[in-house]
Amino acid sequence: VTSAIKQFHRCGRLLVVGGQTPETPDGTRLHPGRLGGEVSVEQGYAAARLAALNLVGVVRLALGRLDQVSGIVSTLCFVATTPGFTDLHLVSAGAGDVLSGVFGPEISRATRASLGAVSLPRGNCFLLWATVECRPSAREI
Amino acid sequence: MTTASPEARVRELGLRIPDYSDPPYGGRYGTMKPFHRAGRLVTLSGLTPETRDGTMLHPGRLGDGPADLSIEQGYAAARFTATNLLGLIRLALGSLDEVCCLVSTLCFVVTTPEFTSVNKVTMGASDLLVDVFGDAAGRATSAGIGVMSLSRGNCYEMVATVESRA
Repeated sequence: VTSAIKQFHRCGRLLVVGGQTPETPDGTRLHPGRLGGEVSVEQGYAAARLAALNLVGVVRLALGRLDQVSGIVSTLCFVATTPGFTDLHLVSAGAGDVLSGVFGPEISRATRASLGAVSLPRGNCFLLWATVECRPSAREI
Repeated sequence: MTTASPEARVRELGLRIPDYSDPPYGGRYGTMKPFHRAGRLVTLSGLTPETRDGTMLHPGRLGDGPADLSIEQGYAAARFTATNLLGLIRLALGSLDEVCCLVSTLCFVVTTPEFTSVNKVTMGASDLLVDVFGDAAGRATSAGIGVMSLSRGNCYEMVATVESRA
């Protein structure tokens, strides 16, 4: 099913990226379900890593080169959980670790919040919403 | 694809867009402002599928049970919420024709834990925005989140950012 949405939007030095889920390009989901239920913290961590890798892919699509990223502004991490699950930060760490590995500790350090969701699109266990800062382009200098 | 302006498209589609100048936005919910503008980015405050007098369209929860809301009802609630968003954009910019493009929509849907079609509900809003602003300007970055509850029992809420022409 195609939606009337786009993957990213650039305004000045800000790049807003639409929600990224732990899916391969063909729609195969990694560890669908809920944390506190059928999905373990380790699996949730792996799902968050894949969602962050997808984010990196969209950033590259948007900017041409990952070297154009000067900072990660914000990340909102939504985790599908049961009501009693409280280790959301251990899941979201998967996304933070990928961004740190790709962009280094300085650029990748972002404002962040993790929120437990009742459900996410297509039964995914994780969704990442991020805003990235780009280096000034020639016309902006 | 039509080249008509968004305001002309609204007339073609016969959309009824609420006026948020009076009564002021947010009165039922607390102290807040309807929008914030920073340069060309305009952040719109949360909107629900309610008329200006507070009548809710399809309050409840999306799910597969007999008492739950259907995807069609959720889609209608999301579409109705997007028409409210048009009203808030008019308040902020004076006219829908002042919108350069949509930036983002973050969409919250009240669901049962088993419900997996959050994205089919949020399409109600994104389809309307493309109907009004066209395929290029009307597409936003987006995410749909299933949540436990929303204010006053509404089934849907969205926050949006748009970019203005000047």
